[in-house]
Amino acid sequence: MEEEFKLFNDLLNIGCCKLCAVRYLCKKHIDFSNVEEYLFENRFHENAVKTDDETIYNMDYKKIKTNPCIVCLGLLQEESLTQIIQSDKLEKAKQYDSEVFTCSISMPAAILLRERSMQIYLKSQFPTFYKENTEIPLNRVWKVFVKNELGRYLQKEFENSDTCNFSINVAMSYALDIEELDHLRKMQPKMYLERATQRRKYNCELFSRKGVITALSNTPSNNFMTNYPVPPEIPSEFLQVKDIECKHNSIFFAGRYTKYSRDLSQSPWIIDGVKTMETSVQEIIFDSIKNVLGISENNLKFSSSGREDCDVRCLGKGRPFYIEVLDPVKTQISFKEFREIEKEVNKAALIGVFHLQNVDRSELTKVKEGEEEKTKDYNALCLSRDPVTQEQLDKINVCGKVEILQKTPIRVLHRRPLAIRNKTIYEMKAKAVEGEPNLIDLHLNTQAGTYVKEFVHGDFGRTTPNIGEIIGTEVDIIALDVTAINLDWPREIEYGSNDHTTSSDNNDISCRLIFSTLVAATSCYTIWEVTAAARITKC
Amino acid sequence: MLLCTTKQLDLNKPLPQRNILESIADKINDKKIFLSVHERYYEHKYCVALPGISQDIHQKVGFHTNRVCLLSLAENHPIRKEDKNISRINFKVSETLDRLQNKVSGKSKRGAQKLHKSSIICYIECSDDTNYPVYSCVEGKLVEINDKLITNPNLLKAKPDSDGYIALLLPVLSMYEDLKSSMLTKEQYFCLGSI
Ligand SMILES: [Zn+2]
Repeated sequence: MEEEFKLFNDLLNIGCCKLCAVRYLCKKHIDFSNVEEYLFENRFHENAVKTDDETIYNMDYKKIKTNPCIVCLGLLQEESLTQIIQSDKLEKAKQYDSEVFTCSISMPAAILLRERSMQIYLKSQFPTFYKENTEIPLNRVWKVFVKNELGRYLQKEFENSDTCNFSINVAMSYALDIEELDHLRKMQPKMYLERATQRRKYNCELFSRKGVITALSNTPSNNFMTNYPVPPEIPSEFLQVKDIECKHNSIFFAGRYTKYSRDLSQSPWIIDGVKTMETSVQEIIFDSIKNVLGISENNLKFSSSGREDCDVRCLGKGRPFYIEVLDPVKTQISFKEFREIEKEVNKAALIGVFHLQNVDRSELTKVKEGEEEKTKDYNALCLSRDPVTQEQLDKINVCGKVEILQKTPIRVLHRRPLAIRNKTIYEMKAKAVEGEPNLIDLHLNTQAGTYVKEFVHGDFGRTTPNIGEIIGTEVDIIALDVTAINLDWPREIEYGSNDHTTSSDNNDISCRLIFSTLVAATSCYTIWEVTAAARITKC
Repeated sequence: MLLCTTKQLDLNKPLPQRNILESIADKINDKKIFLSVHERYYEHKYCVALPGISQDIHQKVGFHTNRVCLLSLAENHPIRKEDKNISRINFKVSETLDRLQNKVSGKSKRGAQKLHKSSIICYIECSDDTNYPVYSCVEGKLVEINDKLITNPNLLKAKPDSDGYIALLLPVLSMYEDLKSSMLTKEQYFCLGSI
């Protein structure tokens, strides 16, 4: 214990802050949020060295005019904590609705230099007690030092950084940083000459953190001592808050969308930097999220279980999708807010969104699985060059399961590699269309990734067999609907019960009505019913 | 793919705001006439003369909206016009160059054989001992040879515009518009034939 008292008092004496002095006691079990208790219980105050009738170490140390610590430059002193709390840069951290937070610190590199100087000092002064690198790291102590007060100010609970989704990084700057680091040039002249001449290689940064660490580890104690004071001198400046960055891990919304328009692509369609379509599935959903939750589209990323072409409708229960919300300020979205987003989306009747909800990141693999493994149902309206006979329809209906070979369709060949793929059509049902002798109403169940349009017209024999080949005439496809994507994800929302919300107002009721109407509309109408009026005639 | 037709027709129309079902009827109304796939999605241009080639070549290039080119024989090509019997199509165009060895990989079709306008794609050998070279007509990359022609060379005549295509080519994009305008339209081509 004697050696500990001696070291502790000595460090205070040369200008260390109290927490740094305790750090160098190298005791892992000390609770840094309450060092007073440790010091009191171990009778540090009774063993304080007295000079000029005044205790250097005083229990009420706040009243003492303190110098910036010679190691942490004030990081573990009240001054910097007050500065952080009072910084207007911390305001944005308050806006996040996260109930927990974690924090980290970015320190100027001059601290590394001072820490090295301290190590050399302690090794020479307390060789039996101090073992290099056994002191408690500065950043760890800083976290403990600030967490309670920061938590009180932000009204958030501190959480361990591994599990916490919301983190605050405080970057501190030191006015004399470059001036002090300049001593490294004398310690490692060759290295810094090289860095100075090859600025581009080192990103114009002479004293990078990594470079400082390398330089220090290559510098023996005697070289260090001739070029830098040991122990370090008392600094004239405290650290200043340079920046405070907040970051919340992504959260995810999932749902299913239906698409009723044949003039709408899934994502913005950009050719040579120009948006070619007015809007898209993605943009409609993003706009609605923005309107209801105030989240900018720049923070949203859309993914789905495959996509349909812009002229293909997606009906039935729709296509599973999810949206990644980057750095969300608002993470707690109510049942009612999700219903409002749906209502907003469904307004224009171009698309519909249902079952919108929060999902965990771990669930997202299901979407890719759906894209690659789950079957899809389609309804294709096909046009034959010649009037279709019952015999031809029968040929399709007796096919059963069909294995096809499909070369990458010419229409996507400019943006996809050329390949031949085996795909399976599991089931087909062909029906005549009343009053339209050249039309075939074709229902298919296919393996994921089958290009249905090419299966119908054959793509110049590049997909075989194809419908034209099967019925022995030229066939084209004039309309296509996805009627089912057979993936049960995400879970279905119970629209009937809104116990989750405090009040069931008119919005919820009308939302439910829109939903049921759309489901009815999309399941009743097949393509050809709509085309009965189309009067397609043969040229 | 359907986009190509509907988009041209609806370019200036506002997005459908009406009842969901009406808007579909609109779309389908647009397609009253049966058009083959090659008619609906390709713009056909004719290539008759090539620099450095003395005789007329009578070839046709189908430009897809995505700029992939489909190479075929034009209507007035002697093989089509005189209904010649094709005995073989030879894709080995020189001692060292076999078009059937063409392999492409990736989106950008790496490893493709490079083509100039007058590069020979194949020789069509007819049973009357005539022999016709087929030219690329397009500067760019060879994407695919229609391998069905190996076993069934007469597809070239039977379905010249569809299953009997000769090759798929990817033109150099910077020269795309010039290339297209350097070729004849259908009207110009048939005018030419009648002179
Ligand atoms: Zn300190």
